[in-house]
Amino acid sequence: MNESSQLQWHRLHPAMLLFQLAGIVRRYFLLFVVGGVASSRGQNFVYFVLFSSALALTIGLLRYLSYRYAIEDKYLTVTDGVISKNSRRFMLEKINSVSRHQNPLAKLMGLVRLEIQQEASNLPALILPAVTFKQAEEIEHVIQLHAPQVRVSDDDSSSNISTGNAKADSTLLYQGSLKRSFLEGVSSFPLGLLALIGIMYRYYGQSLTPYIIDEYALYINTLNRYGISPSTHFWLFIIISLVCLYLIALAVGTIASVIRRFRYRVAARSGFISVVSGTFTRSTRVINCQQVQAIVGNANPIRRFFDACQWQIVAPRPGRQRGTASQLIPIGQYEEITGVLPALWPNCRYPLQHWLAVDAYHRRRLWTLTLLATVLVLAFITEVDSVFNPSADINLWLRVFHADWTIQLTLLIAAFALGALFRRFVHVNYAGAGYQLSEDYIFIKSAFLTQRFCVVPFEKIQAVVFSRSPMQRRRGLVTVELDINGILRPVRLYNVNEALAEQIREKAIAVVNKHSK
Amino acid sequence: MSIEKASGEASDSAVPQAFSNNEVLLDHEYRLAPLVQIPMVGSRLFICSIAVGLVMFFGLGIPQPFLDQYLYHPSVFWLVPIAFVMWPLLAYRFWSYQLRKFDIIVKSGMLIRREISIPWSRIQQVDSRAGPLDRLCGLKRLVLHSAGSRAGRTLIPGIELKLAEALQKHLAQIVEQFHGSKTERLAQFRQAMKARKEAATQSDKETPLE
Repeated sequence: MNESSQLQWHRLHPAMLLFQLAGIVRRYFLLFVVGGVASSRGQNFVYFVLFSSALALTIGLLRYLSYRYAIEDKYLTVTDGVISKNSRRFMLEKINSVSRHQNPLAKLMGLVRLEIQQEASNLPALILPAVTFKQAEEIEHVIQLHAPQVRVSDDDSSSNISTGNAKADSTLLYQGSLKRSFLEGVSSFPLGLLALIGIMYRYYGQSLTPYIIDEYALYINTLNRYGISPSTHFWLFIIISLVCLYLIALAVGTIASVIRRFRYRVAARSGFISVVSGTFTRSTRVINCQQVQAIVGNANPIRRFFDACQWQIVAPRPGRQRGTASQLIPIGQYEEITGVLPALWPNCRYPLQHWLAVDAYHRRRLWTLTLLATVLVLAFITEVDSVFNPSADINLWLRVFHADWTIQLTLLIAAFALGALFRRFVHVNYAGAGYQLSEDYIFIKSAFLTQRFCVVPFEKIQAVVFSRSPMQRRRGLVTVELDINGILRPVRLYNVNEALAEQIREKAIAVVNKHSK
Repeated sequence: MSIEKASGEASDSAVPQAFSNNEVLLDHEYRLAPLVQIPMVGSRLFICSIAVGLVMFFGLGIPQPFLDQYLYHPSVFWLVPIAFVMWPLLAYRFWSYQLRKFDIIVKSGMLIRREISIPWSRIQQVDSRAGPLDRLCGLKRLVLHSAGSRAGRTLIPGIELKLAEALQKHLAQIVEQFHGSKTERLAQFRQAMKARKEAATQSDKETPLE
């Protein structure tokens, strides 16, 4: 207690009160709406507004008054809380990263929000919601004195966060634009779907059911006007519904992407990469190149058509869930990686050509999988059809104990015929898989529908996993999986011969061992 | 399983010192204790009984005709749970682990065989666990923690108590060797950076203003 009283405490900027109020309103928006509606029915709306405003102000004020920080010899201490007092003490030398964030209001008032992250900690980042640039610089200076391995977002953020201009001594690796963000939105269906769900969730709170029921009824009525109903044209209805859903998701995704990404900027500067993101709320994250575990690129068929690729810098942030902290470079041309890689790792050259092919068994495996998938899809369609049209003859696909095999046989032949059509795709996918080994790096590309490129330094590998299916064992092949910190989807090299797999493993182990000594 | 003497290879200078304690064999392929089948089958029996109970009593939202036609069919209703529960009786033979110079290899899987190889320097922590059935059989499970996303928690079940303790001790020593040296290096690096910064500030002060 005595020790804490000797500390020189600093308060945050009084504008924190505004940010607190905005946070309270955002968090309890639904409660305000429900309370407002309920009180207006009882004609107490004015009292409700007054009471809730006073409450929000009091909470904000108390939080502002109780939020203090102090920097002592080796620690940064932050205390907050009125009823239950919390105190967090960060060892300055253990701090891993410092990032600045600035929303439009903060930009107007010349304030920043500092996020300080400690290494190897599962705790969330320490946040100082509103500090002046001078305070931010002071804190960053002290941190850098104690933890020189941390590159704070110094002048890069203070000047560029608002202007978006590159510094003279930094290399601009990626600059977002309207065209690029539009392309990203158009080419990423999941983003659209996620944005759609997000908007619906935000708008309707936790219960989506009433919305879905209302909209579904409206949709059914519209289709009925054109003589299409689920009972008469079931598959047409399903196809139209899927197309509609896809188009809506795509539109929402494109708008979301344009808004979010068009001012994205990635620049490299002496062993660090700074990523400035956000359109309204600008954030800067400075990544130490040593922390980058891998580079992953994804190119789905639409992106491949435009010769574009979404690159991802895998740099895990401690305290966050694994795999979620990777930094995306939204969409770039396929060749742009040749500029990014030397900035990260000077001796790394991306092999645009001369990839080594995986074993030819990989093509046969893909072919078998395609056939199997076709059979299963047809089986599923007939089974679903049997649920909605019980009178139809083809409703016995999955009942394997039934004696009548004619329908199953017909469907099997149809599946093989359809599968033959997919043969070309299988070949494209096989040709899209390959690998390349260099002294310190392994390059892997794989494809099924989405082509994936991975660049992994051997020294960053956490574990090497071999898996062998019975067929692979017969042919002496192995699927090699490289385990990396912070990656969401595993990096796999399919169907390589055992000698090569062993060579990769031994090399990885040797390099890891060499670098850890 | 008794603790065996280390081979001559362990005295190699490149080998972590923990191996020279002559308790754990290097490059020896250790197998699981046969008694491990009891906790393995027991835990699966527990999961299976809960799953079957939930399906039978609540249906889990699955339409009744579907349950009658497919799930309650004798071949599905009995064969699947029995296969699920009995699987470890066959699969446990395929588990093994091997301590090598620079890494540990854990093998598992009957149909699809998996081999996880974790370099010593990547292991951050070694936990040991023992459930009631494990304790009944005098066994322990070791969990190797690394920063990886997929093999971040690698499990080695069915190790006899004595061996498990020896293994955990040795693994902890190896981990300490690697991480200890890294911390020292980091401290040296920080000190050097601090000195450089101070020197730069000093020279700034000494430089006369133009």
